[in-house]
Amino acid sequence: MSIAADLIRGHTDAIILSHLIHRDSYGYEINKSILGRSDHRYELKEATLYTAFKRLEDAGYIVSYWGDEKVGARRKYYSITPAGREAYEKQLSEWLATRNIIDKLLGTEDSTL
Amino acid sequence: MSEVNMQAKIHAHIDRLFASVPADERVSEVKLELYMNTIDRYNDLVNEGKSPDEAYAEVIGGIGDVDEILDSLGYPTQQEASPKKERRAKGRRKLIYDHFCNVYWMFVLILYFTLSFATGAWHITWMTFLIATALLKAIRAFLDIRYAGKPDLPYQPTKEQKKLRATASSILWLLVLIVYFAVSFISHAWYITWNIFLLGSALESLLSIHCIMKDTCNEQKEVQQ
Repeated sequence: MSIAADLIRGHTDAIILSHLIHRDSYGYEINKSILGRSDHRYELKEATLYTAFKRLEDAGYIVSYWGDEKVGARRKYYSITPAGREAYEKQLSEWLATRNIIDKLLGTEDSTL
Repeated sequence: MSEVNMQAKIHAHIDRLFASVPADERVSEVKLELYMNTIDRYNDLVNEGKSPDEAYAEVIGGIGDVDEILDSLGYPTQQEASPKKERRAKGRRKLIYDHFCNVYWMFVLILYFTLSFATGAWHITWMTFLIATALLKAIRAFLDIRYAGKPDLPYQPTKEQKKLRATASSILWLLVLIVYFAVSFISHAWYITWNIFLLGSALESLLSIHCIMKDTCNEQKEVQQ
């Protein structure tokens, strides 16, 4: 993994929620979108993805249902709940605040101004 | 390999990953979900121009550590079921017994070959092994009774102790080699002198037993002080 994978892994839940904000989705589609949005630099292991799904479901942030597809395979879809949206907003603002602090601490802010 | 075969191969792989847990409803659901996504990913990779084998390797690698899932479902993972520590540190008594068995069988082999070459009665001498096996079983039974219910402390030598033992072992084998050639050239009894290596193996085991006992003694002294 070419970039600070640990830092990203710490935000797995928020990354998944950010995808589900737009529409219901299934595991592979979410992982594909992560791969695409990170310009092929980051991808979750399937096991990590399911563990996150399970965690988010237990927390009441997402719900799952089996899709009934006429053509092709049956898929398990995930849908974000109102509590999940709230959690996402909270994690997003936390991240923005953290980024702000780190920018200041590392002195990157001056150079970008 | 045809598509159908590859799907079966992926299916079989996922079955193996979950072999340690009962196939209840939750596990079946996770497996199905994992299977569907893995097949989707596999098909995409093949459509991108990857060979079936490349694509298979990539999707299997992409599954990651299934223990993570089992853990979140509340199943004991394989690592928890057999802790590494227990595997690493064998009990002292078990270790000594293993080494003793080695010494025992080496001497049985030496006895067998010596008897056989001396008498030429190969058709009878093989019975040495029958007698030896019975005797070892008796010894084992005796030890089981003698030490029944007593805890077998794990043996974890320090780095220095390991180093010392490795040095002693290499000196031992050097000596064995010298003795082997010396004896062989003097006696010209090459057909039997290789038994010296069996003796060497037995001596190494005796050395190990000695080390374990000495280390244990020293530890007990330290505790008393």
